[in-house]
Amino acid sequence: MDIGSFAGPFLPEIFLLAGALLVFLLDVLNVRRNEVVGAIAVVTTALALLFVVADLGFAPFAGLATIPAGAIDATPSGAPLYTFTSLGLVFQGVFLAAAFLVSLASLSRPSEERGAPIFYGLLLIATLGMVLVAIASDLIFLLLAIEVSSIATYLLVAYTRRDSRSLEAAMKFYIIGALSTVLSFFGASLLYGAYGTTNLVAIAHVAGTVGYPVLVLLGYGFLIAGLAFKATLVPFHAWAVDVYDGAPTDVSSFLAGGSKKVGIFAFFLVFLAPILYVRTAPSGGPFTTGTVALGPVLQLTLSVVAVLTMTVGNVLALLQKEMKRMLAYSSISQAGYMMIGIAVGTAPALAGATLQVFAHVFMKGGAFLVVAGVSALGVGPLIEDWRGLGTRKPVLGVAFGLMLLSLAGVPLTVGFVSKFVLFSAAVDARGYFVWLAVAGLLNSALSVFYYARVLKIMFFDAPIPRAQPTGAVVGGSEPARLPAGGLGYGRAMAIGIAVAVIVAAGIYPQLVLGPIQNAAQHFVNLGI
Amino acid sequence: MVFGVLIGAAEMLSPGSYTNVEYTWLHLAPAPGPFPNGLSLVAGTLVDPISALMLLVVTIVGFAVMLYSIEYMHHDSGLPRYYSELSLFLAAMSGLVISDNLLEFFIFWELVGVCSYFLIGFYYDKPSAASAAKEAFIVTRVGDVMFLLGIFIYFYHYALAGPIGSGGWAANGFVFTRGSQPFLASSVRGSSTLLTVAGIMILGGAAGKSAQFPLHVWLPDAMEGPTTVSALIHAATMVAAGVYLLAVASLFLGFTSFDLLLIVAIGGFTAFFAATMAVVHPDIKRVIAYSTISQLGYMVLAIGAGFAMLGLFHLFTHAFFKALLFLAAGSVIHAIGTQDLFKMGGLRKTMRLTAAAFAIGGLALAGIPPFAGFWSKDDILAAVYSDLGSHPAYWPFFLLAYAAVFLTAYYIFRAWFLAFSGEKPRDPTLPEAHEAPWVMRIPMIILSALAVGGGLLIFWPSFDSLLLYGNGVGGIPPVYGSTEIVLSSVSVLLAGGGILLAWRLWGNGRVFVLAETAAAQSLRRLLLNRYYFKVGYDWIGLNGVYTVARAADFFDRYVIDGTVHGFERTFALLSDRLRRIQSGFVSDYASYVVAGLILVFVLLLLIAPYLVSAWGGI
Repeated sequence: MDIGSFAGPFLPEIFLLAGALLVFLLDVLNVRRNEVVGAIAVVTTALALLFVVADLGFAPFAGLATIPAGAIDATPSGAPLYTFTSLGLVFQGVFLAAAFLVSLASLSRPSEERGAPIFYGLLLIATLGMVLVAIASDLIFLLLAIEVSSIATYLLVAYTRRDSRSLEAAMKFYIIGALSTVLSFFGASLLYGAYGTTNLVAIAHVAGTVGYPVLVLLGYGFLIAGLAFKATLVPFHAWAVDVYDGAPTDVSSFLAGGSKKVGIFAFFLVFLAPILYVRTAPSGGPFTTGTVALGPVLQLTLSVVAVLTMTVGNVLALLQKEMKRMLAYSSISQAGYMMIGIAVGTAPALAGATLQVFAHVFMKGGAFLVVAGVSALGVGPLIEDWRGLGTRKPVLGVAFGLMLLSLAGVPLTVGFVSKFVLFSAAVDARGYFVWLAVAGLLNSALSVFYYARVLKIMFFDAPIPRAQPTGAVVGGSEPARLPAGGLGYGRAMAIGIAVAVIVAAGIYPQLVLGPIQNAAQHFVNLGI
Repeated sequence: MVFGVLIGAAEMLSPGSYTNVEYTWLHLAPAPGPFPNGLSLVAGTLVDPISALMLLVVTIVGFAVMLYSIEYMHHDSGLPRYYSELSLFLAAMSGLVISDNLLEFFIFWELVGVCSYFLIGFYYDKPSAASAAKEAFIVTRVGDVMFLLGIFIYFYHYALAGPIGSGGWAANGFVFTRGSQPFLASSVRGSSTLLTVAGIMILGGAAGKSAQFPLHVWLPDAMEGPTTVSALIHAATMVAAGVYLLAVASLFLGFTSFDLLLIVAIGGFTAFFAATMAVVHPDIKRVIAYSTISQLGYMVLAIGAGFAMLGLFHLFTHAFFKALLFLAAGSVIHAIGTQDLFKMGGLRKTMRLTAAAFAIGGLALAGIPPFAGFWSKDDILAAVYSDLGSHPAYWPFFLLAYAAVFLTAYYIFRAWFLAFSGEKPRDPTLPEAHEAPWVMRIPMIILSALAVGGGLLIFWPSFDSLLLYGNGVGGIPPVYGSTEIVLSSVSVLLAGGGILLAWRLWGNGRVFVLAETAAAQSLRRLLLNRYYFKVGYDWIGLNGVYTVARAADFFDRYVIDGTVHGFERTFALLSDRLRRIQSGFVSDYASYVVAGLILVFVLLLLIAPYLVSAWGGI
């Protein structure tokens, strides 16, 4: 029997919701052990991920497909609230993978830690919102789904209630998030004023006929500002560093690996149609003469934002002294690369950006998971504190090193392939897009500096001598001992999976790239 | 290794079959530019008749050398390094011969190159070894760069060429062959200047790796490595790669007629030129080294004349007798600790097996029937001769190659007589010689058997039909008739004459002292100094390249480093300034959002429309 006919195409979403409710129920019943509730989250996300992968058509899981085959990438009729696109499913997979890795790693946290049910429940709710974003085809549906995930993430940042830093981070996150939500909704209402609809499918149909009033520009402008918050684009990024830094590190992993991509996909959804279709240009801009099409104007604006984001992110990452802040800035700059995809707006560029999104889950999300594990071992927050870690914990050091190399875009890691595909798509698009690729390459070169510095500190610098419990300082040759215990099975497995994906997708990228290229092509053909 | 032998043998038994496994590493969607149908980069394996032949050579010789090394190297330190590098060397070579596209081929090619660097410089604490390794690496690097350029030209030129798959060569990963379409069909081959240049580039790459004139200088110096490594380099791995590249390129890509003439010229000339240098050399290993260069010349000659499979057949037989010669020489060196022929003598009494092995190798090298070298070398000479009617320009190079037969027989038996005949060593201080232990004897016995019988394989029909592979593009080897028999007889007589002369001059402990006439002595000096090629290259290196390098260094130090440091300082400053933005006050962040909103509006409403209309509405 086909599972789809039993529960309908929303089985992943149903699972996530059920998992969250179960966790909260257990909380009420006083079952709060980290392992128990964590296992629920792990199983839930894994199952949902399995369904999504099956829906994408991977042969071994075909029997698990929940969406009827014809419904994916079908041309929508009317003005539906949701549409199943294969690119959306890829993003669902990315979100679920991030959630899965984070919950798997969090299994290794102390089992008596307070707030475990809240953590996993909120994680599942946030994931639910994100998964809904990926199937949205209406502005209001999209913004509400983003809100569902956002509100859950505000709380996630604050779930360690005793930690003032995380409370402060949550407060900042919330205030800026609320401001951005206002901007988004205001933009959506302006678009409604111009187009008479908030439905993305309908907008794609009527956009060409409505033309180019200032109202449309204002609407898209507000939407850029609102969505840029989620995607951490400069200059709407300022919250991200404080939040990634202040939040519990596993939550940072989720924010960087999963939640940020919501913004990227929202950009894909909202801006692809006008970029592709709105070429008519009746009246010209208010301050220019002649005719100007909307699409190129949006592309140019997004391009500027993309270059600004990657450059500022990289430049600021250069001098960071704290590991988490460095990773946060690097995360911002990676969002700049991803924005190249929508700015160029061709299928190969979208594919490259999506692959970058995919890679980022494992390299950046994984890196934060390592940081969380390492700080649990008693290593301080500064990059300097990591001195000699590579020689003291070789396996962990190599894993982290691979993640950094992938972030820098070194061949035989997935980070290289994604940048290669993305930049070559920008070059193929000709025009000023070539300069986007150039900016991306220069930024990659710049970023190597701070990644390589960490590698040097980890592998080539001697460990810092530490004060012994007695107060005597050990001689320089004797490194301070790390606790004998490891990271815990859950975290080790999560890191292992991340590294395996980074290397496997770097050695055999076509496995991932092929489906993504198809999905992006369908997405552009569909053009909602 | 045994597995590789099996694959090769299986292929041998069913000639003409293909085993092709590949997977796409990366596929780029179609886009305007040089690859309008998209671009695939693939990794795959292809076992066809030529690669099967090579696989046999690599694995059999590799096995023999490995076995021999157990005893020969066991006094050395750094054995883990030795065996891992040797294994990598063999793995890279095996990978090279089963690559199914040029890029993969190039990757393994470079791996072979770097392994040769490691192994030649195995005794890296010896300055001469270190410099020989560097020399081998740098000289072959000249070829590698040319090869890479050639690849690019071919990729560019044939990007859309069929008949491989749909969408052309680039969209299908530049693979050599697929299914029933073994070659890039002659229909798409052009004959433009660009292709001629590409062919010259490929030839350059092959000449570097296979030590052909004028890039031959590194090979004799590569004797600084352990003798086992020399055996491997000369027989199965390094130099074979260049010949294999030429064969693959001639079968698959095709050369223009000018390129073919150039290949024939280089092959024929090198065959003679290297043989002359071997005539006077006092070092047993270097004599064999020059003979390798000369024999490689025959292979290149055959490929240039359109008989790629004959060239590879000679490579096949040559691998066995050349490895045998090196292992026998290694056995001598192992026993008495010197490489100087003029110190040796009378060794046949104490080292019977080694003397016999060296003699078998020498007879095979000289081309005396029924030893292996006779069949392959004579096939080449007969085939080139049959082609002379249509290509009269090949005449001089054919004659040079023919003359080299005499020199070959002379120099290798000069070495044999010096080392093994006579009563006792010329240098009395040498230690008492002893026969090599069994671990070293077994590989010599195996290789002796192959050096005797390897050539007889052509009487086995399925092996013979293997040699006809690729006839669609190459020439058809001649059927043996009266002309060929006369030709063979003459070459056997020439070889016999060479051996006789060697016996007259050096046999029975005699030492031939060259007359003191100026002409003869200056010729000898010229040959000993290898025609002053090395001196010339060093001069070019020191005066030309070093000046350029100094200029580049200056540029690097002041312009590039200056720029880099400038950027570094700028970005550090920028980073420092920008960092202050991150105040930690949420009200500041909110104001950034507002500022960002204003920025977006300025872009959307003012700058972007202006630019877009100015650029003509892209």
